[in-house]
Amino acid sequence: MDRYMKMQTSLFRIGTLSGPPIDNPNGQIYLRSQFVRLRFPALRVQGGLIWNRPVAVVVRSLTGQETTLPIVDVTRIVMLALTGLGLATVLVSMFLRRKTSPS
Amino acid sequence: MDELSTSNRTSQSGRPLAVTSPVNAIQTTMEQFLSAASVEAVYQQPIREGEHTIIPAAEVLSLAGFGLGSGSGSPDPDEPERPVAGESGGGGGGGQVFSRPVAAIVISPSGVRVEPIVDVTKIVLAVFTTLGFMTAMLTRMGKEKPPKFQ
Repeated sequence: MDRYMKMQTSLFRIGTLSGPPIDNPNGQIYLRSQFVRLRFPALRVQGGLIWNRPVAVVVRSLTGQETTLPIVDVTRIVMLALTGLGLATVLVSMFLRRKTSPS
Repeated sequence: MDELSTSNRTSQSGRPLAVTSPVNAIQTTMEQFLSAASVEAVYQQPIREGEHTIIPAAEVLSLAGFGLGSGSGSPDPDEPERPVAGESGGGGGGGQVFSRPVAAIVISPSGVRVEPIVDVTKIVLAVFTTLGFMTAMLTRMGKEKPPKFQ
């Protein structure tokens, strides 16, 4: 079981990392990123991918108050919306075609 | 990493296959590659300009793959005129790194703000592609006639 869990965690892993604090006049800043690690192990063929992306910026003021500023990937959101629009068009056209057929 | 151990693999001549070292090299390379998940991979060094500091942030996608193979042969007793034996091996690998800017973190005396970086060219191309696809789908749907029944 332990070996199984070890292999599972080594094959696919997702996590959030936080960098060292960066000093600024208003306090400290912590940069957070997320990674997805996928590995394809085999005896003589190995491969893998790592996807790193920024997640948020944590601002800690001099009074100790923490504020999290999320990092929004606008380009990705628009691309996903366009992909969804295309898929919706396919589904609607299939639905209308089925509805208009006499059978 | 037990599945990567090749120390017990031997050729038909009884000699160990010479793939243990390449496998170890591949394993080491993959370990180094997969350890590239870090904050430093996403956020670049701060750029200071007067009272302002800018930290560029990007998403990074890294892909890599390796493979190798080997084989050996012994003389065929049915073909005594070809007493050839030997072993050989080969391998290869490749990888790609994609990087795309996502945002810029601006630190100023008034505070910290995140400025998104929008790839307008990519979005415009995607919009035209989607519109073309939608137009083609709707045109095809309008041209189709219902099947005739006899």
